Amino acid sequence: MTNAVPPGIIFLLGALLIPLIRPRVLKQAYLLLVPLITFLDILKLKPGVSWTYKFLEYELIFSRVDRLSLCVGYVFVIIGLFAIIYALHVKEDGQHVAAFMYVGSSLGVVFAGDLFTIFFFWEIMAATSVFLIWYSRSKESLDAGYRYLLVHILGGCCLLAGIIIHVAATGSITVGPTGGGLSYWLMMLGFGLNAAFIPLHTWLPDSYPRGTLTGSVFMCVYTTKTGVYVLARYFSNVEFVAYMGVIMCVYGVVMALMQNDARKLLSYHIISQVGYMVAGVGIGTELAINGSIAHVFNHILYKGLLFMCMGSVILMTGKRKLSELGGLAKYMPVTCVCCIIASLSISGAPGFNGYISKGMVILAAVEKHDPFLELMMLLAAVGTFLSFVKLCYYTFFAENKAIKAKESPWNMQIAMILTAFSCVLIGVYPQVLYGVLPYAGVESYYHAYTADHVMGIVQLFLFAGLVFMLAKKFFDPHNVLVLDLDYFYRLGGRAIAWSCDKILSNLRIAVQASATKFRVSLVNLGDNPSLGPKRRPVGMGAGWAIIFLFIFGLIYMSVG
Amino acid sequence: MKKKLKMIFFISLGLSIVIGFPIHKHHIAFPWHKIPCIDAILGVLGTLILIGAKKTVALFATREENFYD
Repeated sequence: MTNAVPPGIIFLLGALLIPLIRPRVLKQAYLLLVPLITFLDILKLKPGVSWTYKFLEYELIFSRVDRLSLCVGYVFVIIGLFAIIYALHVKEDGQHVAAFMYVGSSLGVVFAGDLFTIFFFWEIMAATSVFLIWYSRSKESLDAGYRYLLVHILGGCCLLAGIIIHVAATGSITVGPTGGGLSYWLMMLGFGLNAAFIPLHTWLPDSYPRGTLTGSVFMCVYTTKTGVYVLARYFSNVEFVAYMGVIMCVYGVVMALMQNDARKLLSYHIISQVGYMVAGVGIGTELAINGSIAHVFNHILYKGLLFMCMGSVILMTGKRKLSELGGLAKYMPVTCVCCIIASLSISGAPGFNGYISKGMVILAAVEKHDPFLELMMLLAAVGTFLSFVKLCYYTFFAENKAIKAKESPWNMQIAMILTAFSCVLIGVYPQVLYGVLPYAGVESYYHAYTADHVMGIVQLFLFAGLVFMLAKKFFDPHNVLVLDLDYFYRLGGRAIAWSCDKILSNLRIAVQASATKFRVSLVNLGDNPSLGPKRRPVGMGAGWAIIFLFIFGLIYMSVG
Repeated sequence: MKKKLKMIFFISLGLSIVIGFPIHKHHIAFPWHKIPCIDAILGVLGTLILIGAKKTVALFATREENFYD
């Protein structure tokens, strides 16, 4: 048992004070203080369960601490700190409040010990993160925000339905669903939507590129990784999840290769990289789970860094399309170097953090003796490398004499340098990471820097690079929109709108008309028939009734 | 400068084959793990597959930028 506060609460309460603090320097100090206090709090947490509350007949657990939650908690707070440094220049309090609540609710999910608490924080995550899109204050971000919210509300409904069915069947809110059944699939759908399962992924590339430059850094970290975290907790060692993971890997890479918008390219790569994590969760062995969570850790760092770099580029140039960028290496050297480090990290190049974790997941697939999983992951690795060669080349090295820029503000540079340093540190000295993974002792059965592994990756990239060089025109960015599966969702949405407008509306008019007719005929029946021919139609019913009564009387008398 | 970089790149390609040839995979689970320099082959094949996939998707999923407007 421990007296430390659930880490999410610190961020959530901390968010409320942001608008009250003046002047700006003090506010900036406060913004940095909250994640630092949270980090110290996490260090104080001891494995076990605490902060339990009675709700109806259930016991809600706000703080369940084990190696899995601690590992994800550490990196959530570390990147939270870096992202806050990156956003220090932002003057709108609302953006900081939304970001703090988003981080806090994500930590709430990570340390939640039961399904109801997970759901509670899950919904806060969706409701607060959407403001990081809306604060862009453009029509397209407003629309994308609504779509994001709708999709996440749908996911939340599925999750809640699954939880209720599960609790009704088992009476437990702490143990996850097992086997098939409706609750199992509904919860998988709810969690899978956040983890960007195909075809539920479309909210991600739709919304992340439209977030604020600083907000996207937060967004690329928390939603999908909490999805992976809960999958690891409740759906590990599930074959469907493993195959879904590798489909995500390849799908994300192919779509990323076709993008012209830098942040959209990065968004598709989130799907691809989350695919590795999901695949690891699905494989479910000790090595795979460690690899999956290690990849969560590393991906949060390098993806955060990539969004920081592209945010800097967009801020300083006002351009977001690769076809409009180029030649920025000499104007923005810090951003350029950081972006190259992040690109090498995500590609899994030796010496960088992605190499460590990606290798673990791929090795887990090999040990499972599933060639499909291994080959799909290798294909995605090739695609990732090509994609980031393309990103770096067209942003920093391609010739573009029209572009002029200067380096981004000091706080952005510091955030990028710190994050880049973390990527290299873990790549060079992976023991830092091994020490916090869910299963201890990973060093005894996984050796990242073996000759065959290093040489394999080097050959893979060099020869992929050779084909890139020879077939560069196939990778040139173009000013086009590449449709995703949301095309069909939008078609479905239009069909619903059309049916509401035409079919349902006409049906309403028809029903209303017949109801009016019926009401009029009822009124007619109740009218006074003796008022004469003018009102005959009105009293017709009563007149007929009198006639029938008269005839009935005649018959009755004649029979009698 | 460009020429120099290209030279370095091609030398690296050659060196990776020369050094990588005698290095065998530690975990041999599938037949292709026994092929020397298999990762170089996979790198080439993977890129060609991705180019093919990209072209195929582009064939029916590419629209004007303002398509949804």
